[in-house]
Formats: sequence, C-alpha cells, structure tokens
Amino acid sequence: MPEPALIIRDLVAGYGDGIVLDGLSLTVGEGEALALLGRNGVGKTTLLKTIMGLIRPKSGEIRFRDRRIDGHPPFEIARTKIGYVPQGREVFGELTVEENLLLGDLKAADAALAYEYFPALAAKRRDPAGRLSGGQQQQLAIGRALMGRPALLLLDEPSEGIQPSIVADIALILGRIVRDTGLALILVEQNIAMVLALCTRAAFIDHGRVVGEETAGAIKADPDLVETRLTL
Amino acid sequence: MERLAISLLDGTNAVLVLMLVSLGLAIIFGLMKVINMAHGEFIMLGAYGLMALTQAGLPFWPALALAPLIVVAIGLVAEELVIRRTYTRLLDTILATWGLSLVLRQAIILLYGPGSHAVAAPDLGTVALFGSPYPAYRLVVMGLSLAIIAGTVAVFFRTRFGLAARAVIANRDMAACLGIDTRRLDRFTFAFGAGLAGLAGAVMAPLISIDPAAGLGWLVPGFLAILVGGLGSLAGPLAGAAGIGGLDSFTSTLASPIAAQLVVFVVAIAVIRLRPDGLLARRRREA
Repeated sequence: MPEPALIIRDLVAGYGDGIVLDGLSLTVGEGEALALLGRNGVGKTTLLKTIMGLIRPKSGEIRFRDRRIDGHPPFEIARTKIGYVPQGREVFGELTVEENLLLGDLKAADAALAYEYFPALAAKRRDPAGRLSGGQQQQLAIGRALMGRPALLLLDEPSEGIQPSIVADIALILGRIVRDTGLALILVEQNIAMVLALCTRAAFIDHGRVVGEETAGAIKADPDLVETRLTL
Repeated sequence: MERLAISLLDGTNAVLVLMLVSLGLAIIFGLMKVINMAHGEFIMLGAYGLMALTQAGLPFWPALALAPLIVVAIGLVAEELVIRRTYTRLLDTILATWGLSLVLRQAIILLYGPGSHAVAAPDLGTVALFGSPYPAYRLVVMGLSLAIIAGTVAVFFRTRFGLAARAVIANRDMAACLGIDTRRLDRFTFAFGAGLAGLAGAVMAPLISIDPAAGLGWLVPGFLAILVGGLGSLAGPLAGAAGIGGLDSFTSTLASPIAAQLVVFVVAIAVIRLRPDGLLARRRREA
C-alpha cells in the first residue's frame, strides 16, 4: 500500500437538509488509481463535489497530504493540487480551447502540457470550446485539469455520452498520464472496461457509504463480482 | 446645422460617460450577481471627491486622477463590510446596496449639507468645431472616457486576469475548482466598478450641479442601458448606453428633456418586451 494521499473519515454531506453521504470513509494512496462504483444516486458525484469544496460537509474530515481541506473554499482546495473533471465536462463554451486550458494554470506560458497528451486540441486551439464534439470537450476538460499539475485527479463519468472508440482512446491517454506523472486518480465510472484499463482497486458505494472493495484483478477474474456487489 | 453639430457632440459626451457607468454596473453584476443600487452614489462621491481635493488646494488634474481612487477605496470597504455577505442572494444585494446608498448620501449631507456645489472646469478655452466654438474640456472628457473604456475592454480580453474574470462570469463554480481566487476577484471587481463610476462623477463634476442626489440621474439610464443592451458580454452594456444615451440627447434637442424621458422609457420597455435578454444577449445554449 503506497503512502496515503487522501484520507476521508466519517464524512456526512448533502444538499440542504438532505443527507447523501452518510459516514463515508475512504483512503486513496499516492499514485493510486481508485474506481468508485455504485448505482445512480448513491453519492458518488456528491463525494467528488464535497472533496472539491463545492459542498460543505456537515461533519467528518477530509485530509489531503496531511492537510485538512474540508471547509475550505474550492479555489484553495484546487491549489493543494487536486484537479477536477466534473460530470458534463463544464468547459467554458464561449472561450477558445486554448483559453480553457490556460484557465487550468493562469501562470503557464502556453498550453503545451495539455497538447502533448491531446494533440487534437492543438489543431483547434482557436475554436470556441462549445463547438467541439463531446469527446473533444472531454479531452479538453481533462487537459484543463492537467494544466494545474494535479497530484490527485477527480474524474466524474468521463465516458458519459461519448462514442465507445473515443472512450477507449481517452482511457489509453489517461493511463499514460497516470504512468508519466504519478498522480493519484479517483474515477467515477459506469464503463467497466475503462475502470479495468485504469484502476487497480474499486470501492463500492451504497447509501452514502463505502460498502466494500475489490482489486481490479479480482474483478477481471470474475466480472460478475461487480453485479453481485452492487445488488448487495 | 451648427446647433445640430453641437448637440451631437454633447450627446456623444453623455453617451461615453453613460458607458462608464453601465460598464461598471454590468461588470459588478456579471461577476458577482450583485445589483448595485449604490452605483449612483459612487458617481456622486467621485464628484464630491474632486471638489474636496480641489478645495484642499490640489490642482484640477491630480485631483481628477485621485478622486476615482477615493471611490475605489470606499468600494473596497463597502465590499468587505456589506456586499460580500449578500453574495448568491440577489434580492438581498438590492436591499443591501440600497441601504449603502442611503448611508453614503446621508454622510455627504452631514459633511457638505444638502445644497448644491460647483467646481470650475480647468480653463482650456474652446476649440472651433464645425465652425463654432466648443469647450475643450468636453473633448477631454470624451477622450478620457474612450481611453478608459478601451482600457477596460483590453484588460478583459488581453490579460490573464481578464480571462479569469470571464471564466467566473461564465461558470463561477468551475472557475473556482480550477484554483481561481474568486474572493480576490470579487473584491477587485467591485472596487473597479466603483472606480469607473467615481471617474464618471469626477470627470463630469465641472459640468454638473454637485449635490447629494447627483448620481441618481445616471443610475436609471445606467440600468436601462444594461437591460436594453443585454448582459453577459461587454458589448451589451456599451451598445445599450449608446442607444439610451443617444436617444435621450437626440430627443432632448429636437423636443424637450421631458419628451426625451418619455421616449427613452417607451423604447426601453418595447425593447425589453420584445427581447427580454437584451439586444446583444448571447443565445442560450440548448441543454
């Protein structure tokens, strides 16, 4: 087990009075790629939003690299080197591709770091991001997060609404990024092929808690495990 | 013909100053979703600031440069004490800034009384334009306004700071998740918007009657300009200011200032009825 990067303890969070995360605990190691699996509405997206500070936890603790980050505003959390690729990508549609990337690091001289992994974006650097295809917007959102040189990358459903061939491409590039940079990854994903291509461990979430985990090896050996775990 | 040329110039003057006012309003609303009812008072403070500085013995031009900075400082304090506590609650921003406007106006009445004051324009003489003399100071007002408007546009579209501001306008949460310090940006934006209003007040001070209600006459057309022009870009408020200010000056010349108010309101209502998001509103992307 690598040294822990992110440690979450007894996290309770939700919207308004509603509770979505109900005492969730989770640890992610430095350089580890962890998948979060679970049905719709069990709290996976809420967990990522709470880590980023978009939702303020009601109780519990989030530590990143020995620093408590819960209760801090999102920009401070982002600056501790946590990158976020939200569900639905949320690229800035009216800004150009290059402007989107530079927003990931306002001090960068250029966006070469992102273009290295996503050369297709370089060709469209002056196009408004809103005009890109879904797959390219996903690449842009990942590239934008990458510009901040994150130590931990949060990815929320990167395969959603993207054609399968592009999903495979993105999984391949993400794998390269993980190997090159040694960043840790939390991947929320329904696409098991993508999970197996990237992650070494999967945590199963239900009713706002981690209810179990498996290694990627075990899932590969017995693909039915995922179904069994999710219907528990 | 001569009279027409002169009133065209006066109209351009009014339009450019109105552009400063509505640009400040639009930037504050665009970034912070704060409807700033105290914007008129920032204009008024700019005029009083200039007056106070010249009375203290400062020559006109340094006073003109300093007066907007006083308003910037007041804007910073107001943001820290009041405005930042109302973010994300649109209605509260109206009430809070309205309260702020009352406080500022009463403070000025306590300091300078309810009466009106005047500041002498620097004696720059006149320039012959279209065969008739035209006060050179008014040309300076126009040039200065144009330069500040161009500078604001350049900051927004040519700098990384402006890029961050545009990102916050488009999607505040996402911008914050990229590490953009939204708090610092808010503070800076509010102060900058206040400074634009302060500059408008200071530069117009020699041309108007300086009294505690001096800003109100600009606030309403300023709001009309951003409603008519549309928000979400810098071009909207600028176009709105050109339309509202131009129509007002034009009708005032042809008929009377009263008729001008009537025409401006009727046209503004018609535009808002037909294009609720404003003339230059960005088309909403389909979800």
